Amino acid sequence: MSTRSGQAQRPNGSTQGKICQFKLVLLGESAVGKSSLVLRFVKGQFHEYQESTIGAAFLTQTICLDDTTVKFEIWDTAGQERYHSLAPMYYRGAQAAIVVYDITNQDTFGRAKTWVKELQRQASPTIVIALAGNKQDLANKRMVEFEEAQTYAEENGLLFMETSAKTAMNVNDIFQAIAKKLPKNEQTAGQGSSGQGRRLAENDTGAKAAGNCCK
Amino acid sequence: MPVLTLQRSYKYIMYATKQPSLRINQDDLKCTNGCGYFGNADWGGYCSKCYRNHMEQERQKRTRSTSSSSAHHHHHHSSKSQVTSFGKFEEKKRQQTDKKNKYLPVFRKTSSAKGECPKEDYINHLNVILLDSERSERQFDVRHANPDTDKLNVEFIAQFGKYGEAVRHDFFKCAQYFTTKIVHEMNLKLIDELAEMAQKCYVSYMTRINGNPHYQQVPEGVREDLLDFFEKYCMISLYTFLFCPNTTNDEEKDLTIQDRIRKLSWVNAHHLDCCISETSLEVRDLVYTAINDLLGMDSMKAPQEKLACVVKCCRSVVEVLQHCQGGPVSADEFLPALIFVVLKANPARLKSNILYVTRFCNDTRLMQGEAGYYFTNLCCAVSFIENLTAESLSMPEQEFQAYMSGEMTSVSAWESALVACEGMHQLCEHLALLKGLSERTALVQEESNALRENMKKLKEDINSQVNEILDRTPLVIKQRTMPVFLLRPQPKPKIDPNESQPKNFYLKNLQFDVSHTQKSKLQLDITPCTQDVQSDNLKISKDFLSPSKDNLSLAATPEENSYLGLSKINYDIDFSDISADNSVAEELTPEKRSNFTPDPFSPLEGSSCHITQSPLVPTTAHQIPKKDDFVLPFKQEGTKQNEETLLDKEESTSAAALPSPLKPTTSQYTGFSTQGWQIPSIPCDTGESASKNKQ
Repeated sequence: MSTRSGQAQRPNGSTQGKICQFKLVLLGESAVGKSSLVLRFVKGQFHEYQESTIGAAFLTQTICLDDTTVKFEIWDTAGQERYHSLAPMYYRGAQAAIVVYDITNQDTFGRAKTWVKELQRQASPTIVIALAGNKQDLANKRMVEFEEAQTYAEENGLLFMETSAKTAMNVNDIFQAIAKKLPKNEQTAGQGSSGQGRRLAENDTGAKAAGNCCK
Repeated sequence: MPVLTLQRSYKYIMYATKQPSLRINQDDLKCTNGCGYFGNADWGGYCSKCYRNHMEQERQKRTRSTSSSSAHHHHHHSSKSQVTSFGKFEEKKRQQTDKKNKYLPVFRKTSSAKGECPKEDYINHLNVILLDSERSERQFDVRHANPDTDKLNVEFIAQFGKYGEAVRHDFFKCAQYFTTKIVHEMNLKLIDELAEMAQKCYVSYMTRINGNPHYQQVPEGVREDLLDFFEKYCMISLYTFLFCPNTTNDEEKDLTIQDRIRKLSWVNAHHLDCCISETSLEVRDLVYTAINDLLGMDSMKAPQEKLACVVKCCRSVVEVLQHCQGGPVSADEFLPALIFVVLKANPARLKSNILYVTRFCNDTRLMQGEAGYYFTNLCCAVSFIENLTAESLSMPEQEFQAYMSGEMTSVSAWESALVACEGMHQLCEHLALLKGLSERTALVQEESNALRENMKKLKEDINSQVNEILDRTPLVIKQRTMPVFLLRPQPKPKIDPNESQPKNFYLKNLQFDVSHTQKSKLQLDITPCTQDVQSDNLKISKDFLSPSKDNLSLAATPEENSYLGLSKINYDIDFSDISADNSVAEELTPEKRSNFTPDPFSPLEGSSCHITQSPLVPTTAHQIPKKDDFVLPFKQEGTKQNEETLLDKEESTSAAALPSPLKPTTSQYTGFSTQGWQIPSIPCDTGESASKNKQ
């Protein structure tokens, strides 16, 4: 369960066991609780003044699903507007994405919608996208209605849950749901993205990042 | 010119390690120009000096006959303008690489040689290698293309040697096949196609490992490592060909980004919304660590090693952030911090390194895992820097332009620290030194204070001890002992003649007193003075008279008298305590009287002993200072008891000696008892002085 276990792991090598490794990208405005959500999922902890001394940018977590073990490799992304254009470099080759918004902030929901649109247009066509309305524990300050988000999710074929990193509500559930939805033939997942990703890297670093990253 | 020869011999060493597969005589290594110095294959067999001259001539020739020769010579390459521009930035690059890559002299030389060398020379050189390898009827021996390969061989044997000779044989066969193929193709294909080849090669080698019977012995976990090593081995062997190849404009990109970063040197953590506190010394140290890790990337050869450097750098950045904000570091904080570090590090050949890793690192490693994540972040950071605008720093366009053009200079703590780095370092060192010194002085002060205290204590101790000793000074005691000594022998020989007169005088006085007291007996009872006297008498009577009881049954009469007196006195004691002092003073006299009474009275008639003690009574009565003198020695002996008791003791001893004379004179006791009652009247006069003595 360590954060570094993923380093040596490869989808090609791990096909023998029933371990499927997936790359999951976290998207969303800053301060919507992306890293809190992951920390809750991976470490089972929540600190409002998070004291634990670990990096939350890159984490791995394994969950068991029926007869297969699903290993999530979670890539956090910088949520600030100014880094928006860099996002394709993160979600390239990702098999899953969680778009997080804050239910107490309508703007973050708007941003989440743009993320979803961008993912659908530019990311791998098989990518599983989940929409998470975080900070459910602050439902009394709610600005985004549950129904509104749910209809949006249904229209766009997204998984949707309202979560709370603080109370752990739906945190494991959303990851479980993603794991269920992911194709378990991991060989295609691993190789299919690899060739594509490499070329993209060259294009991306060649100065025009956002536009042509997904051929 | 010892320096020059040294340089040249150094080149020879390089040359020798690079091309030992060709069996060469020492003469063949010499410059083809025949100048006597060693030549270098990279320079067409010339020594550095001759090669420069040769190049100069070539360039002049080329400028004279422009189009025809260029078309002929450079058919491999896009255009001549590219070559000239290439040469131009090559010069720039050399300047900066000289500055940046001091730790990589080997590579710098080869790369700069490549740059100066016209492409055809380089390709000819490669062809020579290939031809030679073919001639020797074996494939291009990669091991000799790079000094690192020997080390790699050792490493391989250490790591995978236990899986048998077959594995080793197949590994090297595949590696050689791959490297030879790349070298063959590298002039015909674009770098991206080569990268594709490399990726395919990794995949095919992996399938070979999994399928080939040679590798059956290798456990599954180790197969991954074997593939990694395969990649490492091939890439280190081909590093000089594949890193920043001439067919690409990687170097130009390097210069562009370098220049860009230099122009952006005014960007600080605040601009990036990054929580790195530039002023903190600890944070600064951590940032320096991160920067060093990033700079280290350029010195590594294998893509995975370069990746390891990136991971190390990023972990340092995470550490910095943890130090600054004290929580788990999310990407929101991490990416700005990494951008900041890249901006401040301005690593050499950043773009070349990134492209090299992107092209030739096993894709699966780039797409997944921590290394992949951090490398992606680095790519993002570089991309952000390349596309940095006023908007992305959320500052007005004008201000941004002013900064970029150098009109405005930011007051950045980081910059000022870099400028005043030396000063800062010294300052820090001095501060640390001063801190240490102040600590030490504080310690010294403390110790000295303690010492002073000790000295004081010692002084006091000594003083008190001296005082104590002075209190018990034997000198005084001796003075005292003298009279004591005198007291005993005196009565017999000395005092008799001297004090014969006072004896008579005292006797007279006593008699007078007695007469007075007898008259004022009733008065005495009433007056407080007598109370204590009598209480003392009680004691004395108990102490002193008890033995007398034993000894003298006849003394009952005086005892009875004294008891009677006591009973009366007891009542009186209740009445007045204030006057007790006076009475106490009087006690002395009565005690003495009572004590002495046996003595004076018994001797009064017969012995001279009375005379010695009888003077005491008058002296106490009339001369206070004399009395004091007498008292002091008694005190010094440490007995808390009053003089009375002391006297008692002394007298008791004397009494012990004395009884014998008393015994025979039983009849005198009646007289004694009467006198004893008479005596209390005497102290009435001496009361005050006696009380003083007591106090």
